[in-house]
Amino acid sequence: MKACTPTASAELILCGHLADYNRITKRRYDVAPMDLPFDRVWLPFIYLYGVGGIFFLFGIFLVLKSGALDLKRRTHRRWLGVLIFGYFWYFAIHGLGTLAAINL
Amino acid sequence: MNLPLMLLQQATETPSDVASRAAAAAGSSPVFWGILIGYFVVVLGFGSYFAKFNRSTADFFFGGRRFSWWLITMSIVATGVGSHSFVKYSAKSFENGFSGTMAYMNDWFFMPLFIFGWLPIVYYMKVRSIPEYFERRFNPFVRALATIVQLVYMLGYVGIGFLTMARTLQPIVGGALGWSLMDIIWVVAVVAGVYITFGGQTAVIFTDLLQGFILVFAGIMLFLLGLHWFGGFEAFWHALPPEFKLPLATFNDDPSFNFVGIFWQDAVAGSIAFLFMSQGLIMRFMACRSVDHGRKAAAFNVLFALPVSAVAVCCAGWIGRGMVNVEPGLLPESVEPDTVFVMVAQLLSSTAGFGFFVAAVTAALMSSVDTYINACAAIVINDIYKPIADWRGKSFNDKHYLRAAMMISALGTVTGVAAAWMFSKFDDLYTAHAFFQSTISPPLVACIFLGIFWRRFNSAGAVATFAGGVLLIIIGRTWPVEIIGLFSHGIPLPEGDQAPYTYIGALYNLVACFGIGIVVSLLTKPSANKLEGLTLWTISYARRFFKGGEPNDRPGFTLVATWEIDASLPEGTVQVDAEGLHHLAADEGDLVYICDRRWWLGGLRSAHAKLQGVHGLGETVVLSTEIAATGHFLEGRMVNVEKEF
Repeated sequence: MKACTPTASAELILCGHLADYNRITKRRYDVAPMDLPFDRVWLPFIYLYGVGGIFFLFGIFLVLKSGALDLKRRTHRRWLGVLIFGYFWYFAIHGLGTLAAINL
Repeated sequence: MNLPLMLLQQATETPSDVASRAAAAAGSSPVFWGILIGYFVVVLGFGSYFAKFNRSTADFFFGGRRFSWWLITMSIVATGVGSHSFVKYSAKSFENGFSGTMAYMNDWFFMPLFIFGWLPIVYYMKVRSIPEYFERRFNPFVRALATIVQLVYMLGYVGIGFLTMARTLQPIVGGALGWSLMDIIWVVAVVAGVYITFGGQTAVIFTDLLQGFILVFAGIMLFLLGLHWFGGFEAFWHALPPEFKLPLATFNDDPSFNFVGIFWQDAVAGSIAFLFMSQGLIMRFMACRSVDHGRKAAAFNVLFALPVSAVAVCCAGWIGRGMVNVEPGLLPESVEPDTVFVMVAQLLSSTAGFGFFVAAVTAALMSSVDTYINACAAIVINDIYKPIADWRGKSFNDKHYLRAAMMISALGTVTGVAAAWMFSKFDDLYTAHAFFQSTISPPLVACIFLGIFWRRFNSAGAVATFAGGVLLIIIGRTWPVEIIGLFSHGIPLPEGDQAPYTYIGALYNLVACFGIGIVVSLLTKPSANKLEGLTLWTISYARRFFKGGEPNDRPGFTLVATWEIDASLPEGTVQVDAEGLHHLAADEGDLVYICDRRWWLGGLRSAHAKLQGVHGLGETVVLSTEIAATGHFLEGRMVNVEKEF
């Protein structure tokens, strides 16, 4: 890219110094806070971990009941912990992501 | 072309013109071609190198069941990210924001049933294909149905993969070399076909490992370049409206992209189909050195690799939306969503960087197509060729089947090219394949799921699920408002010609297929088939079947030893000394895993064997000739010996 000395914001952009342009002008693009309704923000989250949670618990119940997951075996106990961790891992990702979207 | 000139030209051009021109400019750069050709050479080199690891059909289809979890995880990432993913998910994310990641972030709910149900069943029962499971669980007729369905689906997928990738590459290489769509398809097919045909599953796993790194690295690099463009994460974050940043879509307001529909279509039907019905994925898990490594691969993939992949494939859309908000002159609001990935990649990178992104898209294609071609060959050999040979009373050795598998892989590649050509010529055929896939997948999903988790589900129920399920799905499609509308969760009908209930139709399909399977099974006699090891409720038999005896779960230690060959040992056996046996907490007849000590080989030089007697040679493991050859152990290298069970 050709070197140039930008003198105005348009030139800053055209010279390819977009990051510099943003940094120099300290331009922020805050979008006006929206009053998002509860059902827009949280209903999908509740449905995902509610209905999805039913499938998840049903799965845990089946593997325990059938003996496929045998709590007498140490490795199986550890796997049960991993399964529960996984549920809350995604719960936290989506929950914190939602909180960040509406608050930060 | 430099950025200022490009920006000035954009004022008079449509976004797609800009994308095409930017792509064509990259295609005329030697740096770009250097990267792309270098990538193809490396992939071909992988194929020829790993060809020597194929000594049997077990090697060719299942990589000798020897690989470590981390190798399988990364290769699954590459398989899961298709050629269309960068374009499709960038477009969805550009339109809908962070909720474009939903399809990648909702696969955990069925993991208990997968890692403690389906995975041990297929691994321990040595189920080589999904249709084979259908015969063992139901009858040959259901197997035949499943064979046809799987082959049509997978060959169609290979064709669509080739076509999608060629359409992505054509603006780039078409201008520079004058290549047509079919020229591009042939070049990629030859490269992919060669390494799949000669390298089999082992080559697929290792090339997918490389391709997985390339495409994740490319996506993350694009995100970091985007953040730099904005001047940091904070500036990027504030360039986006709050609703855009929500990780889940609107519940039911938008008929074309709503949370509840995507939940049923992707988190439920899609997850079950991906985990339980994908022949390619099943073969990948069968290539793991143990069920526990398969569990680790699955868990790590869903917990960590999928969220990273989601960022990799979606970030161009987020960056593009931010650019629209910040500098509408650079990327206009009216930009076509499908061009966002190419435009953002071109805007943020140099020619070399853009070449790398194109290599990533190509990698995404090849890593999906190679898996499906290998899976097609497995089904043709296992579910068509062998049964016909048995029926005709012919007996062939494994070498014969290995040669046949290689020829069928080559033939599968050519068939995929033919399918791509037909899809490119006849739009109706493309639509027909999509219709076939969406109509036949739910009955297949219901059959597998009920077959694994409900003992009472019988052959009559399986046939009814196939036939009745398809019929009910077609009825639902014919009268969507009256029938699927009952399950719509309040999703409004779309305006114009768009089909209603795009996503939520999956809920109706599942209810119809599961419903008919359950009702018919309850109204007919229970199956007389032996179900040992084939359902969740009879799974304890599966480990005994795999070992051929009672499992030994006494905890032991890993043995580090030198190795030597004793030609008098029977095939598939090894010996350790008495102290070694004690160290392993093993008995004669137990299964052991012998592996080169270098962990980073991921199990490439390893083998499974049975313990046969003891010797008096000290800290040495004595291998039968066949085990030494299967494991590809190197002279003078120490090995680890672990008891399996």
